[in-house]
Amino acid sequence: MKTDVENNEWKAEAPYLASLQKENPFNVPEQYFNLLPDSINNSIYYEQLKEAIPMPGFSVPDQYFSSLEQRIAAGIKNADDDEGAEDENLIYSLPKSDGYTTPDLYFDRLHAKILEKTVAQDAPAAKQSSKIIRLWHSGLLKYASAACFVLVSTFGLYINYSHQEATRADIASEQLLYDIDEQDIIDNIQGNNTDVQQNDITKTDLETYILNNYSQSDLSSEQ
Amino acid sequence: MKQVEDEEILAMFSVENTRNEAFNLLIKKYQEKIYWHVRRLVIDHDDADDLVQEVFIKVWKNLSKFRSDSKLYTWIYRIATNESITFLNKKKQQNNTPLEEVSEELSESLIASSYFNGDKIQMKLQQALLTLPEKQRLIFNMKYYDDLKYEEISSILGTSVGALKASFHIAVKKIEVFMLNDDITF
Repeated sequence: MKTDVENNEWKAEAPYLASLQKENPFNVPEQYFNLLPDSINNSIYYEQLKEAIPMPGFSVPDQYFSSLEQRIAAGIKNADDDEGAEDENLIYSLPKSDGYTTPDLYFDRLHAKILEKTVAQDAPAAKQSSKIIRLWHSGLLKYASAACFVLVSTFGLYINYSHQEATRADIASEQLLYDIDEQDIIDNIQGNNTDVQQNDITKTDLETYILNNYSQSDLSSEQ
Repeated sequence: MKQVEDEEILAMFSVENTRNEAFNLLIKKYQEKIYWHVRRLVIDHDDADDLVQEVFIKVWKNLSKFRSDSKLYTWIYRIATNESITFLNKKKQQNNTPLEEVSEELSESLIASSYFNGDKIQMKLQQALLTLPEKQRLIFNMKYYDDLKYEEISSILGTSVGALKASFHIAVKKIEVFMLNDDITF
């Protein structure tokens, strides 16, 4: 009675859910539950096996790995000390040879074969490609050429600049002369010349100059 | 076939000669209940199969230590519940998946499952259950499908009867809303 009440009291709160038929929508493979007990027993058996055999089945003597290194070292030492001696470790008493042989002159021919299959095959392709000639064989030459070009260019520019400066100076001087009054120039010239002539020219020299440079007619016309 | 009583199974199991026979009887008695309980939680048949075998391996190993302070079925049910929840938690951790996405995975598994033969309404009901939190879904399954009493569920889950009632009623309301929502179809 109590269970019925307990199981039905929610139905008033969820009438749609209560109206649905309670069914199991899931299914299982055929014969699943018939085979399940055997499957479970097999699983239990495997679990017991795992518990009974913790190791993968192989075992080694006690202290095997801790002494392994020493035994290997001792074996090597014995092989070095005793040439061809009887040794309990057989591997060190064997001759150092792998037992393999090669045909006669094999390695002499091997080199040529390799070249034949590699370089020779690539050679035609190499000929067809254009030859590249390097302009600059050395980096030093390249930089030296550049430096010379810079120096020559600089010198040329300097010369050109100087010529231009001289030309400008002449032009400036002529411009100055145009600006100065003509009478000033004449006075300057005469002043300079008079001083020089008074200092350097005697009466004799003056007479000689006049006679040489002026004709009678010139002298008579000026009078 | 008449079902053997739990006390008889326990008595047979305690004797070495009859241990295997007792265990086989126990499997046949509880395998389907345990299987469906697990299957409704994990949805996928293969996952449920693996978990059921794990459950009975644990039962085999620990049955000799079982004290009769609870019913045998309750004890096995508790092992099955713990194994299922552990499985779902591992699923979350392995893929670093939040709980919501685990529910989505289960939902997709349900849709793709070849071992589901319910109609659209049943599919919608199962999808509604997958929207519930894990424990709420567990409580709903045990009450709605297994018809367990609140005291039995309390013994299995270790939760008070009052909390179980509240949880079940909340679950029922959520499912009702989901089922009546015409926008959700499958």
